[in-house]
Amino acid sequence: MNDEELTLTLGTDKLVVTIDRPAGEERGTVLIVPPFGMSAERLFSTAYLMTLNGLRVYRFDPRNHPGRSTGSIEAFRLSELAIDTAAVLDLCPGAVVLGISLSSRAVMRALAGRDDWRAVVLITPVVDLQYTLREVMGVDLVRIVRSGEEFPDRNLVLGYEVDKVFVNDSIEHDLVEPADTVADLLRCRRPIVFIAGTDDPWVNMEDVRKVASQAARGGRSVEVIAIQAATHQLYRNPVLATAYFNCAVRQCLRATGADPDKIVEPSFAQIIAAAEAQRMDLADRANLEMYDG
Amino acid sequence: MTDLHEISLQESVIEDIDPLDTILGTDEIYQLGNKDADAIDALRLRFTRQAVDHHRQHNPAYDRYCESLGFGSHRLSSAADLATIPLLSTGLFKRGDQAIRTGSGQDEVILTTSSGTLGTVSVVPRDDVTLKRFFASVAIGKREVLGVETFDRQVFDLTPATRDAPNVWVSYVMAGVGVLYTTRSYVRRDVLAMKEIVADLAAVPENEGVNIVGPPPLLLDLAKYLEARGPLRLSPKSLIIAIGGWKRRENEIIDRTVFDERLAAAFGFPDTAPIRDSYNMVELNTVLFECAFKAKHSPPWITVLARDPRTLAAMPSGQPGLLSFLDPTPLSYPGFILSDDFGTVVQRKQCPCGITGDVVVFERRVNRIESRGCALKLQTIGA
Repeated sequence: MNDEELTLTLGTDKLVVTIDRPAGEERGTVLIVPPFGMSAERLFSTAYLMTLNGLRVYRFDPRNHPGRSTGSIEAFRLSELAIDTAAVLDLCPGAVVLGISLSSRAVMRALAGRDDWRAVVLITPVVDLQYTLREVMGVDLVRIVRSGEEFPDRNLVLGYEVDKVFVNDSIEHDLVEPADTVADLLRCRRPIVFIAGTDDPWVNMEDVRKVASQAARGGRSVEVIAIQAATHQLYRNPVLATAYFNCAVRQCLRATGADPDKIVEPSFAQIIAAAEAQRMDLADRANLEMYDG
Repeated sequence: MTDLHEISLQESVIEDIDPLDTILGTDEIYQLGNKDADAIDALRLRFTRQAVDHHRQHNPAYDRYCESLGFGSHRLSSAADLATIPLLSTGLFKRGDQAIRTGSGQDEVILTTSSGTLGTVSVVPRDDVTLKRFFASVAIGKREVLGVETFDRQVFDLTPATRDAPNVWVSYVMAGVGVLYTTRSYVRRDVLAMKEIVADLAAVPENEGVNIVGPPPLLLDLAKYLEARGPLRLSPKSLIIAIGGWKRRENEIIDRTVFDERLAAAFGFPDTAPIRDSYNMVELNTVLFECAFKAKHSPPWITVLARDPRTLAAMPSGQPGLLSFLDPTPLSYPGFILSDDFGTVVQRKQCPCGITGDVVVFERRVNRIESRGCALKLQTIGA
């Protein structure tokens, strides 16, 4: 894990990418695009699961987001996440791309019109940004902006103060409506897999089915996997996270031509042990550097 | 439903989420009591009854224990009936009794242990789902009681690393927290790296909140160090969270108010609201966190009851007694625990923090004569 680190330069900004390699035979590559508010470091357990299954992982800190890339989350923009995703995909052409929650929407935009990716797997995928924002925040910011009503410069989104430019940017870049999502999907020429929870209050399962159906009618290869009784809070309950991510790994294995039934599913105790070993290793290295210094 | 005819769309359904895990993945679950006070009772009754059935079915010793007391889950028709569920004393876990093990014995478990400072060590077998549910309780409490919503808040960990204290519960908990949150450890070979943590805390951006988590004596040591060298100026969004007890340093225990005031001053907080306590023991699979008003909130899925130490009858709301826990989250051992702690449970309290629910006040640890009786009884049945 954490085998290599690259820093991309986008204009004057830097974008930090981490690469994790599997210990054994490499079956393929997965690019993980973090959900809103989560750094690449926090994706350790997802990356660990992927590498155990023979997949090389690229994970990154988007700009204007928690992590080590340029900017802070106040200035987060979905259109910029799409640009960052595209830039990292340039490093790993042929990868299966994994989007999670809000980042799914940026992933669909990033992949539209490109052919250098193998498949896309979208977990708890935001397909109707207006709906999701309304459910998360309790107010319909998109409607307020469109009506010209005043609204605060900063808004609390999942504990983060986010500039209102986030909403304006999403409207300007056609990232708000389900119809925009369908338009992007129709330009995604590789297999698309949606993994959604039937009890997700932030992503309406029926909306996922609708956009998937429209993309399928347009000739796209689309699969919808419904996880019964699962909510959106996969990072709050590891049982839910396991259900979503094991399903995602099976899809990644399938996309790379491997047998999805041969998935390696680590226990949470194994994940804890791996994370703790990594943490201790980093601490020891830091101590050694201090000593050497 | 969308019409799936005539399109090249595949759809499949995965059905492996237990309803309890849906609850543990539900947003604002602590707010359940605000919307409908009876909903908490219904939730507890449903999942505790389900847990009783699971453990009776997969734990012959516990089944015999229930049988000997004439208890069956069919008797659980109201929340008041939950007090009749046969309990396991913590003493049973200290003896490593097989009676506490639910399951075939071939299921993979990790054996988590107490620190054993009182001479005996509790050993609790946790399977994968049990462990995951424990950390769900951490993540839920962190957001809904501690009020930390963001994913990326840094955690400064003052507990021993697992390589120095393998399987000791408090260390294991923090190792698991390291999976969920960005966590740095500052205790190596039982020594707190004081200069290092202070330097790292001083480098945290002014408006960024952090969580400092550790046992009370080490938090106090850190405060004393800062008192001697000048306080830090942490963001008021930060939290200092006490976990575990005073262990071998019980002679150094200071009054809680004084403790909070010293820590608040040392870390540069305007008041003591960021200083929080938590409650857990290795036998309990759920953590109780304190809100800004110093109330330890019982999560909606567990039932905490104070009991008469002699009869084990449930005490009315606000009356002190021996604390017991009915926790439906563990699958690999019955989570129906009679603790060694004395305290009160104030039921359906409307807390100024916005949560309406049971609040638990821990008063002191008691001797184990009462719980020993219960343990011996179960041992006889399990033999």
